[in-house]
Formats: sequence, structure tokens, C-alpha cells
Amino acid sequence: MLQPLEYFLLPGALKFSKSPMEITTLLGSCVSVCLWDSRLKQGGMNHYMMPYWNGSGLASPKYGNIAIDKLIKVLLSNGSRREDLVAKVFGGAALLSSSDCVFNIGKRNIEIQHRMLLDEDIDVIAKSLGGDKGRKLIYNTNTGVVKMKFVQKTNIT
Amino acid sequence: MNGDELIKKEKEITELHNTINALNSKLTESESLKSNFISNIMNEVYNPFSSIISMADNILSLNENKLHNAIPMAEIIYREAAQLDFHLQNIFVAATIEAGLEGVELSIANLNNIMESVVKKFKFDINNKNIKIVTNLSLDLHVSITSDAKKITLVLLNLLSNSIKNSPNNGEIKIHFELIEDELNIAISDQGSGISETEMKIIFDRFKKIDETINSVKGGTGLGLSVVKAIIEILEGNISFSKENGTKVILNIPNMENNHSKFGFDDDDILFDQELF
Repeated sequence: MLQPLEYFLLPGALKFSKSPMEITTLLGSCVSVCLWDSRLKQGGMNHYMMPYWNGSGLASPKYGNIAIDKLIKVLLSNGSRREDLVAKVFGGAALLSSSDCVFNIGKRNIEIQHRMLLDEDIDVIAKSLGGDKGRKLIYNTNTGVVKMKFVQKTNIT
Repeated sequence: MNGDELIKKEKEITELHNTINALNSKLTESESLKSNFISNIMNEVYNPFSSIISMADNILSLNENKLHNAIPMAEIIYREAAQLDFHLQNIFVAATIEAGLEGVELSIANLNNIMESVVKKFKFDINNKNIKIVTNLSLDLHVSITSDAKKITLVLLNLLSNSIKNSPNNGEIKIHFELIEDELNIAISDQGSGISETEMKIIFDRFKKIDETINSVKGGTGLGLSVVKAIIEILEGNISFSKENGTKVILNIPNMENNHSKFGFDDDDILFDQELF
């Protein structure tokens, strides 16, 4: 079997691959949705930093509502059927000491994926959310397998 | 349903109604911004294009003994093509960032070379307004940083373009570079009218231009600063503005080492595979 390609996903970006690929990312309060098509064995991943785009700046996948919508659309436009899509979701840690205030970004990032995936009728089949530790992920877009490791608070977003 | 419940429901309906109204006005605003953008693009893309075509046509029809007349026409072609290239770069970069496809291509970014190419792109506008560009870079002071040279170039193109547009004739634009530890600081100041506090709130919004009047001579797509901000975020840097006898823009861009190399994963990894569901 071909060795999957490797790709490092930056915060605010999105990656989809038809051919086997290992997408790696590093999460703090950010959230990643790994969307996988069990029929076509293809998938994509986003890495959003904030829940909602408020209309200022570019409408990029830095924001959850845009990142999740774009990820679903990119799979559907590549031949996936909605009923074959499953999601694994990670991140949303409370890394800042002020996390108990209203600006708890991690918590709000978790909420948006929950609501949107529910609305879109996509099952979440695995998750590791919240807590106070960062996460490293490797997602195989061919097998849908995600390897995760907790990491200490460092320079992660 | 008793009276209290009715009042509660009515309150909920009013709240929903207000939310929908607010959303609606936001949508209307966004729609009008989009149509503004399209008319701006028509100006910014069509005008240079028609000048390029007509100038090239003029050169082709020159008599052999008047070939020296081709030089000023070629200058116009260069200026218009450089403008076009700049606007198209902004549009394409905005589109790739919005698609989530913009990554970082690390290289050694030599600021002396970048500045030279940026100033060259605007040399006709700089000469036209007789603007003096003052920078502390020189043969003796070379500044370079590990980052994405192409992105830094586009940021400086946008900021210098704004400064030139807002500068008075015979004005001066100062660009100061400083490398402190692992961070590059760039300060660009002009002698224009500066940005007011109300304007400060919208400068990073896409498609928004401070001067939206029909007779605005300043041109532009309204995309520049939203692209600049998004790029600076990708480069893990920071941008701020201040008003001191004009506009002063301060950029902080960190040295980006290749810290995104492959992680070591081992036995204590948590596996989220198919068997789990």
C-alpha cells in the first residue's frame, strides 16, 4: 500500500484529501473536526480558532461556523453522500487562566461544532474535548483513524 | 395557557423578531458591500486593462523613425500591469485564505530585496506625487528573517500603496526596520490625514473602504487591509495603527523556525479508530 502523504494543518486552515493522507495538527482552545466518508474512504479536517465569524475581516475557516460548513461542502462536492459522513472532534481546552470568564473560547468552540453537526445530521463517533491540556492529532483520511496525544501548555493556540 | 405564559411567549417572539431584523440588516449591508466590491473591481481591473491594450496597440502602429516614443508608453504599460498584478494578488490571496488553503512557505526573507521590489512597483506613483521614501535599510544594514517572503511582500505592497494614496504631494513616507531578538518590527509612517477612531473599527473589514464616495479618486478594492491582517495572523505576527501627524502602522513579525515538523508519536497515544464506535 502507498505510504500516505503527510500534511501539517495550520490554525485557520482546512485540508481535504481524496488520496490517503496523514494530517497533523496541534490544538489548544481550538477545535478540529475530522470528517470521514466511510464509503469513499476520503476525508478532511479543519482547525478553527473562534466560534463565529462576526463579519469583520475575511470569512476564513478560522471561524467555526465557516470552517464546519466549508468542510462538509468540500466532501459533498467530492462525491460524498451526507449519510456516509461521520465526524471525530477534538480540542477546546481551557488553556488561559481566565478561562472561567465569559471569554471561554474553548467551550464556545465546542458548542458550535456540537450544534452544527447536529443540525447537519452528522454523527460524532469519537471525541476528546475540553480539559486543560493541548492535543496533538494525526488523522488518516483513508482509514479515518485519529491518533491523539495530550501535550502540556506550550505555544499552542 | 395563562396570562403570564402568554406574556413570556410574546416577549420571546419580540426577541426573535429583533434578532431576525438585526440579521436582515447585516445581510443587506453585506450584500451592498459585495456590490460595491464588484464595481470597484470593474474599475481596478478594467481600467488598467484597457490602457494596456490601447498603449500596446499604439506601440504596434508606431512608425520606425518614431520608435523612441515607445518608451513612455511602455512605462504606462508597466505601471498599469503592476497595479493589475497587485489587485489580482490581493483577490486571489483573499480567496485562498477564505478557502482555508493558504499555508506558510518558509524561506529567508531578505527585507532589502523585498523593499526594493515593492518600491519599484510603485515608482511611477511615487514620482508623480514627488513622494520621498525614507528607510533605514542600506548596503550596510541588511535585515532578513525566516518567514514567508511572498506574504511579507504582499503586506508591504498593501501598506505602501495605502500610504502613497494618502500622502500629500511632496510628502515623506518613513519605513523603519528593526530586528529585536527573534522578531522583526516594521514601522511605516506617512503624512496623510490619518485614520479616525470610527474609521479604525472598519479598516480590517473586507470590501470596506474608508472613502466610499462616488468621486473618490483614491481607488482600491477595499480588500487590502483585510488581506494584510489575515496574512499577519498566518505569520503569527501582530499589526497596530496609531495616528501621529498621519498614519503610523507597526508590524511585528516573528522569526518562524520550522517547528511544525513531524511529531514523535509513541505507545501512549490514544487511538480513535473504527473499533471504538
